[in-house]
Amino acid sequence: MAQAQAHHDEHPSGISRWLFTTNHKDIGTLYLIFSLIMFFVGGAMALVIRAELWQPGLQIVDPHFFNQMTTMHALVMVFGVVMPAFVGFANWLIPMMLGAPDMALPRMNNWSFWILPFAFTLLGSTLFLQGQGGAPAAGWTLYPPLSTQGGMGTDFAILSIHMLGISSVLGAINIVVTILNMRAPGMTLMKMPLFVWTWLITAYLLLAVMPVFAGAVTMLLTDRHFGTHFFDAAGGGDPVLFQHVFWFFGHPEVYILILPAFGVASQIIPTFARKPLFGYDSMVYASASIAFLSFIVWAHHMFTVGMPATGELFFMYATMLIAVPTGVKVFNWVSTMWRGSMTFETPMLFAVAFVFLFTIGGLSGLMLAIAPADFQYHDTYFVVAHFHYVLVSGAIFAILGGTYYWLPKWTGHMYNETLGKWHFWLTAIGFNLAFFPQHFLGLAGMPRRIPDYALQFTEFNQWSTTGAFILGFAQLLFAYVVWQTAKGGKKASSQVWEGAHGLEWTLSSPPPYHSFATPPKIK
Amino acid sequence: MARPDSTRNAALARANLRTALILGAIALGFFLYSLWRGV
Repeated sequence: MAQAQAHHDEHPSGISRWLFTTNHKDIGTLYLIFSLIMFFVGGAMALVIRAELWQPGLQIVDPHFFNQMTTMHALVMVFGVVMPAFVGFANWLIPMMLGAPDMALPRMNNWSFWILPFAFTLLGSTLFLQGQGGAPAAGWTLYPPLSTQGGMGTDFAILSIHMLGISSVLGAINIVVTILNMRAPGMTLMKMPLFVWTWLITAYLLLAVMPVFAGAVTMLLTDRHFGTHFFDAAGGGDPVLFQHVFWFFGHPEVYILILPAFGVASQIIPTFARKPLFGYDSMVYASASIAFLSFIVWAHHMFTVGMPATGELFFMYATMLIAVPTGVKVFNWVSTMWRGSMTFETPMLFAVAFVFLFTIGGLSGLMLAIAPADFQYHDTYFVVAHFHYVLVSGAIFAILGGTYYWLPKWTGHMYNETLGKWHFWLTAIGFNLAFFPQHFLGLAGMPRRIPDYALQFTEFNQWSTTGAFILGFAQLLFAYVVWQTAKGGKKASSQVWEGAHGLEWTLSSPPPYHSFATPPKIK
Repeated sequence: MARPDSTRNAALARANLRTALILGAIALGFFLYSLWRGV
């Protein structure tokens, strides 16, 4: 036993520590670093898009490359940044929050991560295949017939998506098994921190829809190369079928991106309001309701495709229903802050901005849910503004806020609060400047995914591009703060934040390589 | 003593594997069903 214990506490070093690690903290770190690198890759692509849109006409890139940039930006940000970042959080935090020593399936955990760099190398390599059509350029939705006509970049993307899907499904299985089987004695489901709950629900969503996406792109692949006609009208197929299958994945995917962000906000806000989370039970049920509803709203992405009015009405009302559990969450966060002893350290600034700005994204989502109005908004910059309010000020703000919140726990050092606040304000101002004018552009009729535009849209586009560059370059400050904190600085205490509660704050900062070898007692 | 550590508890490791296999089978089922629906 003593030998087993000694072996168990072995702490490998060098490159093999990272290649062969089965430690949840190491794998969490790998996911987070990978996500940060991809954040800059995807961000650079966004800046190419915004630079081209600085003024009407074609200046910097040709239209086909512009389409590659919009497609790759989305694929990188969705699958390479937001999902890996939250899986990184899950790896670091779920075992510590549950009082478990590690994830349930540590070797599979290593494999889940190491698939990712290969998948993205494959996807990114398409940018160097410009002679063969370059990167996929049909938009991240890969709608046929455009995607069936594209160059070999689309095939690379399909294989890459398969690898990403396998990685996500393995990761999701690991998370569900860990939460169901590895909780410390006394840690009942309704005692789990909200972050763990939102991840449990997210993992089920991943298990249900990633295989459907894999099915859709497999059919795309066989249409492209093996003579099938799933989506080819000339062969008796139906291109709209792809849209249905894609969005059956795509809409729950939106909640896969945002539910863990809800979890992060639900951890940060009580800490800095110094009050317990208001309405814990209702938060859990609201998350589950959102997940359920996410399966029956997919066709609101395709109102203009020519559905029967009954279908349009069903999807319109079902979509509007999501506002109810989402509203419960927003009111619960606000009620948690109500009469709290609030302080506004960087994590709290991001969390408050998250609540405020995500709500704007939610409300513009309600506007888009109204089928007749959507005929006007569809495929315009209004949609672009809407989903960036949901995904940047929603998911990304939660990732940034969560990083500041747990960084002292992970590294053992306090980050530089002044630089953190600078980062927040530059991010918040840059973000709103970049995306708020896009609402007006969309309402005035500027279409998305087009490198050129009519003259009257110039001014709002210049505001937007200015904001995008502020937002983009502000993230260099974030990378610097993270690097500086990892390197050294003021020592962090175990609890780090005065109002922090939960098992992860009972461990030292940084926590031991193997934590909770003996399960804690949960009262 | 209850010890939530699958590397040192064979029964827990088996339970984890069983749960993982069930979830994996469900995911595979969704994949095959979506292909079958396409056909």
